[in-house]
Amino acid sequence: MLIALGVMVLSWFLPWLYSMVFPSGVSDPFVAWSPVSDCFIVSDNSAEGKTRICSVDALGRPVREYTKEERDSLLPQIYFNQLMARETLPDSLKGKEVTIAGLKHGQWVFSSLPRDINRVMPEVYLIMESMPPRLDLEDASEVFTLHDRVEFTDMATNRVNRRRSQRFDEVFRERGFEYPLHSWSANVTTRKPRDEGYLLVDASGTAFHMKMQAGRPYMERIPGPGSVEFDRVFVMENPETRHLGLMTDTEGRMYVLEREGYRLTELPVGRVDPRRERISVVKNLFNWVVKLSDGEGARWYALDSDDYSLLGAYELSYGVSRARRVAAWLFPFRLTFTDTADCLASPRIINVSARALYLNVVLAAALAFIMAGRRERRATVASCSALTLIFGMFSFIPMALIKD
Amino acid sequence: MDKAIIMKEWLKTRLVFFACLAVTLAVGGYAVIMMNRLIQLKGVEHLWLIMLLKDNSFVDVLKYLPLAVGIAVGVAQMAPEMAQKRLKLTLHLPCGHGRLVGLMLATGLVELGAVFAAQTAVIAVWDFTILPPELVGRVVLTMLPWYFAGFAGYLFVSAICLEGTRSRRVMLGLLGVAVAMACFLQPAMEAYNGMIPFMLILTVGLLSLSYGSIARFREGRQD
Amino acid sequence: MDKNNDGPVISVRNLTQRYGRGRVIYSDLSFEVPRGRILGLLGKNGTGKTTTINILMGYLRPQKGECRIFGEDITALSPATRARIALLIEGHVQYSFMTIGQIERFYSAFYPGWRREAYYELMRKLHVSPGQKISSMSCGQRSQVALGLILAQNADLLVLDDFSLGLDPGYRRLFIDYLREFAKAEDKTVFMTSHIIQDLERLIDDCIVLDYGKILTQMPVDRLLRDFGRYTFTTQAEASALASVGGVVNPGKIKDEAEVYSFSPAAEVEAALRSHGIAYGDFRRTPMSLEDAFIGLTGKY
Repeated sequence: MLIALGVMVLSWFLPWLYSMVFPSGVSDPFVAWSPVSDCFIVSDNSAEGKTRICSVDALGRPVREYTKEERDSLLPQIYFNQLMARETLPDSLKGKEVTIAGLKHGQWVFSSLPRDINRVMPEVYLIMESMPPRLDLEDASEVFTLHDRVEFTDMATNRVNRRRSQRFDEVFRERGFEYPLHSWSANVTTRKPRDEGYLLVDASGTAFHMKMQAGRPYMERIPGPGSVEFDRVFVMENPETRHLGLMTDTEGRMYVLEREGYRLTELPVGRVDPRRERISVVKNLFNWVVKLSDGEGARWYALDSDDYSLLGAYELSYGVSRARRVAAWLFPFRLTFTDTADCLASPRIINVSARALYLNVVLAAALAFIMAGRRERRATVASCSALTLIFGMFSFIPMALIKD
Repeated sequence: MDKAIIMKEWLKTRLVFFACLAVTLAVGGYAVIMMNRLIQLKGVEHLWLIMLLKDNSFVDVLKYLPLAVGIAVGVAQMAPEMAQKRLKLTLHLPCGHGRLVGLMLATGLVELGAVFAAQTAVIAVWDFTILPPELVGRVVLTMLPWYFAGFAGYLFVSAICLEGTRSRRVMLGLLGVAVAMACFLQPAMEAYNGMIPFMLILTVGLLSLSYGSIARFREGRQD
Repeated sequence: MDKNNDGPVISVRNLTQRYGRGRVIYSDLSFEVPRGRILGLLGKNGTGKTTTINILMGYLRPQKGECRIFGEDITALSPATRARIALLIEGHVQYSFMTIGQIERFYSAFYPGWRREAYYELMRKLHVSPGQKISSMSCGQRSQVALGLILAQNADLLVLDDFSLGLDPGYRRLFIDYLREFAKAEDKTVFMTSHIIQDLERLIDDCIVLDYGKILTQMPVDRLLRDFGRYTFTTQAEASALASVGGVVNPGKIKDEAEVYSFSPAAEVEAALRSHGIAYGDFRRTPMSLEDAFIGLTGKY
């Protein structure tokens, strides 16, 4: 048991210590799509602290470097204040009138982190009134649960609101909601322009839009294309009212959901896994820049803001740092209990490396030599050396230290 | 015979047990008072909102208490055995050593279980008056890894106290610190749900540490 | 009674023990303790008395050799055999967190032949109440509690490690008197050590005298005091010359007064002195206590 504990703790602690001593972080460049030059503009901070700004071609190769002033002109949707100050803001672009108010109104940002999805969520859902009597949104006063039926509970009294539960339950059944709930999204806050309630995905992968209006249920089934099973949903409540949310299906396709007629459009951004990838969308008057990133790299997609057609794509692979490459020769694997991509604690083995086998062989031989010197039984020496072939220094250290 | 062994363990630990129980109830009571204060000031809805939106269990003040209780009970129970090598008396009792050590550990674990049950009861009973079962269960599940830290702390301290050599004590101590640390890595509520089976297996495995220390004592491995 | 009723209660064969991988405490030590005898293991500090008891009680795995108690290998003594052995740990260590009453109740659960009255008879003499905690007692009183527990256990073999440690003469005497009466009346076997040899003279039947690494002698005490003699005489010879005389041990000389120890009778010692050309006068055998004999065997240093 002591050896097993030693292996467990060392396989957790040693790689962690190594990563602390030799950190290998990456920072993404700032990438935006220029409606002026119809290409990606990449701003990257070099190690010397200088900012390198350049445009990239369709293959992601740098084409031309720009100064900050030139960049401002290329990205008026972002740097309109600077252009306004220099009185160089164009009056129109791509056939659209360019005003400060129009630019501000037409922009929003969305982001989703895996750790917000990969966590144990409470199965109690706050619900706001979407049509408050005084127009201003008010804090939620009730919650609902969706175990095998809808049940509303008044928070002040901790009692079930039977009437409301019954009303909602009837609507859920009428709309064909199948229990249990698969995923959901809502922004329960008064700091938003309006409340769109919940986007829900039921057990069959069907999506619904549900909210409480004047205490009564509003629920609509979102028609999916063909036999699509939805997976994750993200409700959006931007000042610009065109978009209701983003959705992904079980095949990894990403969709934008418009409020008007619940029109659903697939976004040409490749396969998306919100459980693993960070998603960010920066939308402006002219385009969307969808960024999808994980520990291995990032990819950007520029989409037309009107019809969501693909304008361009840019990809960046982080590569493997020298510290990580050296670690692969030292450690056969790494035990970790946490991950930046989730809010869960569980034992998991990562960074499995066959290269560490060379060192393991050396350590196994050294251990056999040490144990033979202690006059241990041959079978014990053999089994301990065999374990060291697998666990490397994680088992070598405790076995060399623990004499019996 | 079993009763006598349990009586001996109880005599060693009863003061610490009652002290731990009192501190646990007091700190549990403090957590309840703080929740009640928030309710008085901002209403119970605010408490629900904080709990659901900010992932706050309102029992963080109890976080390290089970670990402290585990260590205290372990020291109170096992340190007298090693003082003046009194363990020799215990091992000379006409009772199988496996059974003997098992009963000693079982007594400590039951005492810890009682303290942790009291802590859970204080929080859960109060929570049930203001929260739905889903959230009460969520709070209890959030506290589970803290209890595991308590049991693990007890088992490590027991093995350290019963261990005869300084080097092995240091080794056990370092491993104990690592295992305890693993219980407090992720502050999110219910983060350890997936680890509960692993924790149960590890707790059973940690029982063997004291048996190992006793076996080494019987071989004369003492500083 | 056990199947080994007629055999030795304790049997040690070729016992070899070292401090870790270092100094040899003893090698190939062999002895037996017959049933019904009180045997004292005597030796200077560091000769391995407590080590021997630790090995016999299963708290130390012997590096070589075999030890048996009631015929059972001591590395795997059964609970039934342990029940037949009463153990007194050096310093009269007991569960000091218990009271007089609690400790009696505790031990009584383990031993079917428990004699409650024997324990409380001794406690009455100490004028202590059943509710008194052992930790609040003096060392002497604690020794009596330990003794009372041993008497109540009514074991066949008593193993006592340095029972005299920390006791004043009164308590030592009390301990010895009770123990001897108990052991002789009940035909018990006792294996004991003590650093105060004079206490043992009134108690033990046999003795084993340990020196560093070996047994110097093992025999009944009365035979030792009869056969082992201290001889004093006057001589001008150097002490180193006395050391070369065969058959004598630990010679000493202060001014002209010399003394030697020997298992040989006076006539043989005198003959040996003469054969070595040592002139002497006023040769006589002086009476010895067990402590004197012990010093004679092991030397003063």
